[in-house]
Amino acid sequence: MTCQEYLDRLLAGLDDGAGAGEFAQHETACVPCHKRGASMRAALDGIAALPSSPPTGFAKGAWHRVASARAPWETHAPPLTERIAAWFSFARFAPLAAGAVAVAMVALSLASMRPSGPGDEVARVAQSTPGVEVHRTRRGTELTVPEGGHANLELGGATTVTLTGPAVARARTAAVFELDEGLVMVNVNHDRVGKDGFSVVTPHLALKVTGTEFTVRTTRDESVVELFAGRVELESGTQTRVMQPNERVRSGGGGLEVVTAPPRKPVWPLPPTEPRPLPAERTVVRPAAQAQVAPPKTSRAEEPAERNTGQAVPVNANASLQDPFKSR
Amino acid sequence: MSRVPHTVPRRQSEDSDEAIVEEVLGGSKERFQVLIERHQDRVYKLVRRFVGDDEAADVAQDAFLRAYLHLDQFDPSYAFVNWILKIAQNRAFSHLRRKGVARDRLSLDAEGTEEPAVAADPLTAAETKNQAELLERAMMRVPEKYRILLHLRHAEGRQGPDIAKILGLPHGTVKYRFHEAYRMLRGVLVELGVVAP
Repeated sequence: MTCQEYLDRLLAGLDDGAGAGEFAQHETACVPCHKRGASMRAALDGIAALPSSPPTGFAKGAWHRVASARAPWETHAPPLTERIAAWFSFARFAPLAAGAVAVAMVALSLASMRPSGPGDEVARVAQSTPGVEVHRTRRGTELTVPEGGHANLELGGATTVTLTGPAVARARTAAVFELDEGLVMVNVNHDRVGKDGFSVVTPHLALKVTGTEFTVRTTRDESVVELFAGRVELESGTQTRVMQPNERVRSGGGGLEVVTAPPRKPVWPLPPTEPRPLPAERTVVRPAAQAQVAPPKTSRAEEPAERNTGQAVPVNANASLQDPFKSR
Repeated sequence: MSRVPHTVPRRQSEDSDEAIVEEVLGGSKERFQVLIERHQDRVYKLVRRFVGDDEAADVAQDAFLRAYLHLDQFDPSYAFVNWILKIAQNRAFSHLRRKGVARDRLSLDAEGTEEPAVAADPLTAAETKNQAELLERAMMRVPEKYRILLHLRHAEGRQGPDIAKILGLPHGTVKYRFHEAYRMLRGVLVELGVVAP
């Protein structure tokens, strides 16, 4: 081995690898190489022995840094209490809650679409004359009362509705009654009706009551409301009015007219074909601009006979509502 | 040549580094103090080899902090001490980069302003500087990527395969770098008059 080979081996890792014996032999025999090897080993041993202890308080300072830090993975592995709290977090149950709400909404909508019928508590036909047709549809309990017929309907246990034919009406719910045509007498029990009251909707107006007694007569051209007790809110087009007892209001769909003649409570059973007497004077309640351009109204007696399809109201103001089927 | 024995026994008991890491990850944060006290000497020594006495403590503490922040990325199939030494090395190199020190440059020029680059007379050098200071200076003149090899081998007592694991390098690369590291160190030591030319 030459001195250069010895130096290469020395630099390649000192006496590592094959030829360690030859390496040691040359070092022993060659004075310069012996000197090189000895001094190099001494230097490396000196490196290994270099003092380098951390200063006092090093570990404390390092721990202080760690203790005041929050690692990202700490959020993934929180303490047990936090994990339990997280388990009950809103985010975890949000999809479940959303699903429950969706199911509840679907159920409610299906329930609202479910038609009421004779057997239902919300709209029950208590009594009716022959010829009265009752259909349960998606829009509610629909009644068709022939001319001369009558039907007594109980809605939700709080409202009694008496239809006089010819009439077409339907009970949408226990609180909403739609009258397409005919005469209806409504008795609302103030103590039992819901907070939303009871509404009657005709093609010409809508009224809302919270406890009263009134009649609504509807033809193709108009609706006439007669109030006997309580308060009734009327709405027709953009016009609204709160009716007072013993007031009669008619509407053709474009506004409300107050008829000065007092209402007359119908007597059950109603005469089927007797012409309905109408008052001579009427007071038109309309906005000023509309009143100026509105054509003069004709009295109901002057209207063509074929348009007056409603039933006549008997002139008996003192008579109370009687059950027609008791007298039979 | 005497070598420092491998002083990191792989404890299989519950107090092994890996078991403590599991405890820390499970929520016992204070158990990390054990790891700090257990490895503070090695980490500090390694960092000091690169950044010097003044900033070694700060950088070494930062290495422990980094280790804690990324503890979930520790692979328990490897030794924790290797992992923490790797982090310490990275922190030290990052610190040097921030300071603008070229890692792979033999820093003879940088040291030249503080001391004579070459001791003209070894005897004079030996008289004026003790052996330890000269060795420290010689190590500081070796580029970082070679210095880490020398440190791990002669200060930590690690063998080639272990060093290759810590540095993430192939074993052949480590062997070649060892050759280069000794050549450079020897050159510096000869210049300083510590070893025979």
